[in-house]
Amino acid sequence: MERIPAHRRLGQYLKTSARADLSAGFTVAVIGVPQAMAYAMIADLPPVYGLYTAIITCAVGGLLGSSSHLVIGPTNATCMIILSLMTHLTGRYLIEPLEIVLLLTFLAGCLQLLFGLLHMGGVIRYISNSVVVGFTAGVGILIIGNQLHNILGISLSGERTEGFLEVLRATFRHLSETNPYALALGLLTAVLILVLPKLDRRLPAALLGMLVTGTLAYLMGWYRPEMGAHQVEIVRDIGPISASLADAFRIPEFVTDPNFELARDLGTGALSVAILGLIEAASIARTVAAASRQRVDFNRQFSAQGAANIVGSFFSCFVGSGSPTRTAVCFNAGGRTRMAPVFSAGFVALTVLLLAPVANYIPKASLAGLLIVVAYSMIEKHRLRLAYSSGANSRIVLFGTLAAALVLPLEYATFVGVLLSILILLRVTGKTDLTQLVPSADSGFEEVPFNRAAPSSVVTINLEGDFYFAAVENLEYELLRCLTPKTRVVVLRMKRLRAAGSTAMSILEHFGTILGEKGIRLVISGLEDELKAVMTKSGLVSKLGEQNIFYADNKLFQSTELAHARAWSIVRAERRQAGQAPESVAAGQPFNITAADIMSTRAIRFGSTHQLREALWLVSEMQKRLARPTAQTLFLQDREGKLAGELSMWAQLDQLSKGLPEDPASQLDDRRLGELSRRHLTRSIGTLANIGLPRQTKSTSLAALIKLSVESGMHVLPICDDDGRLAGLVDQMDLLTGLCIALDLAPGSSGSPGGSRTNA
Amino acid sequence: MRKVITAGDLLKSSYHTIAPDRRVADAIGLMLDARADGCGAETLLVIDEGGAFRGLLTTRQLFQSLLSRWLPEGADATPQDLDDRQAIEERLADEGREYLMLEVGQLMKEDVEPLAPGDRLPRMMRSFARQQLQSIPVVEAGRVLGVVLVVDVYETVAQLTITPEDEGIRLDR
Repeated sequence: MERIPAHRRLGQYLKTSARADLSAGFTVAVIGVPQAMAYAMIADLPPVYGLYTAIITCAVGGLLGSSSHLVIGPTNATCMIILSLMTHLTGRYLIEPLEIVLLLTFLAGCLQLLFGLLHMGGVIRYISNSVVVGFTAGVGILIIGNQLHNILGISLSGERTEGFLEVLRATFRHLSETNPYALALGLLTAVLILVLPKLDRRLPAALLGMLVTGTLAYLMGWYRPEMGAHQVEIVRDIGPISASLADAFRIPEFVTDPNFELARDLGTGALSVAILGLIEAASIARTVAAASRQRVDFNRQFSAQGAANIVGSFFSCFVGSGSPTRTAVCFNAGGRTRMAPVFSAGFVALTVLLLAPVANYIPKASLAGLLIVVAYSMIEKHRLRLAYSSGANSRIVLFGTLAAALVLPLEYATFVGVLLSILILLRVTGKTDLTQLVPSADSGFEEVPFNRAAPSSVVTINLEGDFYFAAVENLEYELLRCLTPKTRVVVLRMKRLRAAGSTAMSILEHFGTILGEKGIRLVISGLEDELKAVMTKSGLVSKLGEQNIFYADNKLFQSTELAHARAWSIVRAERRQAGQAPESVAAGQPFNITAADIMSTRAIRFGSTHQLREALWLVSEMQKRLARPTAQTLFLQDREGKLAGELSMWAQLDQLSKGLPEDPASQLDDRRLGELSRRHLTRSIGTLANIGLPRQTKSTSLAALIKLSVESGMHVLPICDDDGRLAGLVDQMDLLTGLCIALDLAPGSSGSPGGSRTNA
Repeated sequence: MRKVITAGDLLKSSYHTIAPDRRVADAIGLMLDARADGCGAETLLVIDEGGAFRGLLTTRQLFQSLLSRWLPEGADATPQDLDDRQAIEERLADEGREYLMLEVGQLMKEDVEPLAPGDRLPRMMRSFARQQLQSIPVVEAGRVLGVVLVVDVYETVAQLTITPEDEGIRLDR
């Protein structure tokens, strides 16, 4: 991309996307002009400043931004915050309200630029969607309340209107002064905006609403002062729009005559506006990017928005932010590149130059009508319901933010929302669950509640959840609770733990040290690559000893099994050194491994009087169910349930193959072979089985089991209880696992094993 | 229609291999690692650098070799001796390392009778019954094509032999 010369790229652009961007830009401007004027009114500012914002801020934001469709400019929510701030501040400073707004814009822009430059774009991810929904709905309600008097044509100029409720109260107090002409124009605008799109979706309803009602008021002469109490206020009365852009540029007072006290007072507000702007822009850019598949660089987007606001503050613009409606329009109208918003700015500028006289005659009530329709749509019933029904946490965030927007000064509502998001995030994720693992009779481990496992030399703890600063507090003391005087080694399974911070590492290190003081060793299993990197960097790996760390395997408990083997070898080594007598086998310790340590209980037991037919059916069914590539052996029981013999797959195949012709030229097909084999099916399995088996018990040593396996040729060794009943079995892999423990061998940690799996 | 199943039909192309100059420790590690992957962990095909099939290494060979080190006097030792835990423990500690460093080629089973792709069920059944292996390689011109698992042969035989009315178990006996 960089190597293509600029003029070639321009040519390319003109050929491919310019036309689409121009048309999208025009559509955005058509929607944007009425919005810009109306939104300025939300902030109680003359509509012309909204237009300036839709020109300068939009153009700069578009040029520098990352998203191809995000249209930056005046938005209702930021305007509402501006209003909220202004009501507190205008009385306190003898400064023109516009100057305060410009300073606010400048400060907010600086903060946004800073966020972008500091690469804090990712932080926005943690702001829950419920905050946006709740806040937007709150703003919608506020706008409706604040615009009622405008649509009714009531002037509240003599009233103290500091809060939302006060505005409402004052409106109701003056209800009798309702101006029927203003109300009619406002309602007509609202009706047109609602009805026109139903006739044809392409109609610029807001613009037509303005034009129709403006023309009506003009022709009827309702705007004239002669109307007395029934005079309809028009844009010219609030602040005339001149057909020139020269008025826009002004050196703001904060440059010529800086007021640091005001700047300090505005700090909170600026931060709030900045954050809101970012959340808004991010959530819009994300939605559109999801549809357009564009990957948006939020850091760049934030920097662009900051720069746009800083530039804007020198051109009489108030704080701009991503506009959901205009962005959607830009995308749907086929805008292809960042130039579409830039073109829209151009079209707005053209409008100002060409249509200023017309715009001046738009009635205030019409703008209020537009605002009320827009505000009503901001209360997104569907998304509110969705957020409400997606659990208590989103409900708290949603209604917390909504309530804060209605009750607190609006600038604080963003903070409340962000704070609630973070608190909920910590509540949900900031938990590390502890359980203990005990080796189960079947292979593998069983999870038991923390601190419920029987005392053992090796304690295995399973850590689960997120390992954040909030979660690890007290974790080390929590971990210490499961130690018994018997404990020699602690195995920490970290497989299900997500994202470890340096805090967690220091806690692990501390835990290791505390254990070390008690003479207890620490073995770690299931270490994922991410954690591995953190641990290696922190030096913890070398401190704990590489041989005491087992890396995650995709097989369940594989690395924990090996860690366990390692733990027991530590225990044995310690005992040997201390010259201690081995623990009794009855305690279930695999010291000098016995059958009890490695056997499994999933044996196929069968009466010895059955026929081969039944055995064949049973074993093949079991084999299908187990889906294991290893042959299952059938164990025969007598009437008392005692082990009577074993029937292996090989013995069955041997019997079934008797009498089958092996001549390659044989003309028999498989169906015929099956019929021949059927002759054997009525044989009693008692006569085929290998009987008189040696009696192994749970306390038979690994060495004896291996010797037996080799000498008898049996793949699966039965393990009997004292009454001679089958208690479990030990297969070849069980023996190998035992050998691995006995030899102190940790295959998973040895790196690449000396072989490979072939998929020919 | 005549239906004839051959070793080629039951062929599994996933199997584990190991080079003859690898150590016992590697083989054990490979087997344990392979436990859950469904291609049979107990049998490793020993394939040399040239890709030629040399033999099989199963758990049996591993245990046999170990046993010969434990019991240098041969069969004289009784299982009771082996129950002397302290003695075994020490012997393992002494000889374990040496055992683990043995090369696969030294203890692999060389006298394997492989299957040919065209072998039919009777031959496969007898080959398994004779060699008592979990899987037998299918070799053609010295090259391994894959393996046949005993469970698959058994499954096929069960399907061919058992008719629907044979299914189930009679409990009246």
